[in-house]
Amino acid sequence: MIADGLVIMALLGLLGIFFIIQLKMMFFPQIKGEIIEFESIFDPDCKSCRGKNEGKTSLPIKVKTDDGKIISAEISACTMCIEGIGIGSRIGVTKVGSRHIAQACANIRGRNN
Amino acid sequence: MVIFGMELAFIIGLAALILFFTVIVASLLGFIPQDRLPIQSALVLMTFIITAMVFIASLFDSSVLQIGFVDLIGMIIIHPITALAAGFLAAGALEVAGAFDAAADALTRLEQLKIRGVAIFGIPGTVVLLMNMPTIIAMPCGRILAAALMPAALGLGYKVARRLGDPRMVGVIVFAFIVNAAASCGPSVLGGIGLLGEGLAKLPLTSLSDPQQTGIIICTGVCALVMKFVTPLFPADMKKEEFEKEKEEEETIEVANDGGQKEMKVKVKEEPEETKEVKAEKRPEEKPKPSEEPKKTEEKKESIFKRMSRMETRLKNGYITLGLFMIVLALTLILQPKIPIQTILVVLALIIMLVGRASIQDLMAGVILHPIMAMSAGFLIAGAMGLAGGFDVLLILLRGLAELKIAGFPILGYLGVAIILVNIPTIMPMPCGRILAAALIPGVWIYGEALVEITDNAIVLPVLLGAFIVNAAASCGPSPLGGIGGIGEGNMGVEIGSSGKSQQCGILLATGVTALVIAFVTGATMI
Repeated sequence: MIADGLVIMALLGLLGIFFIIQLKMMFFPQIKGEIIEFESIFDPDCKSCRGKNEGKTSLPIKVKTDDGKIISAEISACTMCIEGIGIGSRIGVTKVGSRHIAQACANIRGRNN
Repeated sequence: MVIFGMELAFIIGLAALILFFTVIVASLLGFIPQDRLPIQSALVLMTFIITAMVFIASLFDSSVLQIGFVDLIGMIIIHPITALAAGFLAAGALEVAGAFDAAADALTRLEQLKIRGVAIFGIPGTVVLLMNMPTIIAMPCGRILAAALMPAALGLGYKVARRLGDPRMVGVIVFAFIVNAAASCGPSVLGGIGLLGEGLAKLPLTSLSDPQQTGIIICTGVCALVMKFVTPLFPADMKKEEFEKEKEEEETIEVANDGGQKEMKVKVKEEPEETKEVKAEKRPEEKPKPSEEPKKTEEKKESIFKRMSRMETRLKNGYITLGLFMIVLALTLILQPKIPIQTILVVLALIIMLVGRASIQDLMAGVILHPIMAMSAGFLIAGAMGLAGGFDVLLILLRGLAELKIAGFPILGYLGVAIILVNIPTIMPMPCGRILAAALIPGVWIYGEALVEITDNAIVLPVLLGAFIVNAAASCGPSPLGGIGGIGEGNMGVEIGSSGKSQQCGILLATGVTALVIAFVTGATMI
């Protein structure tokens, strides 16, 4: 029972950490830019029906940063759909671990196209 | 206090209900722009407005506020949210360890598996397995597997379309897969929506999962049929050459002339760096210099070989972690241990991370918070509506509607109202099924309890809850506010919303089938 309680407390703490990370990604991303392309995830030859980015729960995108560079990042399907993100949407990119995660920018005016 | 012949408490409850549905409908119709005020934020805002309304009204009539603030805090239940958080932790660990990669690889191998020259699964078996894999594995959010297995779904879709010469098969396979993924969060043991109903009605753990999975399998088949014969994405008589050409134009490819033969090459995916210049994708007029070609081929061989050796380890870890996950899940369902699901999932996530050599940072990057936020928004508005008496008013309205008669004959009756109630999530589809599931499930439960009293049949409550939950879980697929269907539509380059009708048809059937399975098959074990 004590162990279960500790697990619940740890999960709540972890949720808090995730929430803070998400807020940081939304309000203070490392790089800001605009989505220029959703990378194709599909291999047209389909010899083994394997595609790029297979097994990942996020989708690969190309971002043009505010200083003109083009970088690769990934965006979760949830963020993309629920936030209504598309080509031309302004997003923030944050490096978490070895991954570049894109998140909707908390810039209310002209947020998404 | 009576105003216009109605008690103030009733008016406040009615106002809360009207405000809730107004926000939902206004968001769906576009009156509330989603890029300025997403539905979750609108519902949280409405929570504050309704709560303020209740406290102000209680100054005039103390019977409006029946619960104190401290009692209200004490009523907050954290189990669904912590179960969901644990579920995402486990899902994130599986992703980083390569389990979903292994699942896609397994599908490819199954397709090629032969015994004495006879294909065991072949393409049909593999397609059926792929389309139903999200419900078999059942992650806490359908988008996890929708994104992870989308390349496999697209690949198989195009393969089948080419083999049969029927372009409609692409949409059939992709969107049947998507509706299955959309609904899969209902029966998920990893913090799925079904757990909400089981907790509320004090049903055995996972008792609502099997009926939902049965309904979802039917839903998948129906969606496939409708996608082929009623709302196909491509015309059946589309010529093969036109279809191939259309697909070539959509995909990002490099075309190189190699010894006079045109060779289609797919770009090798490179590891992302912090800053990188990327050349334009389509330059068919540029020919690689002959002196550079051997080097490029060597580099490509090396990098592919390196990629393969890396992939082998990752695939091995992926298979081990996926197998571990399936075994633990099966044992949990069979043995029903007296350990909270959160503990099981956290321990499982830690083991998967150790086996898969996943880092905490990569895991945290993969955690999706949107479903947690959506469910929290739903819980908050449900709490506000409960505080305002909105659910009591809802029950009065539903009973009134059920007893409405013309010439002595009920128009809808209790059954008709129940059918409408359980299908509300698909009638008003939200981008995350958890929003309406969390917001309306107390109302469904109250109506179910009333029906149990009227019919004197305890099975009615789990039937209603199960049907509502599967409908809510699947409803995010066809949502115009950013449903999972958009992932498939975007990848195929078709109009957003073009797969909505086929998904909704499937969901309607799934709701009915789930209700029937609970009523006639599994219900006896629940009551």
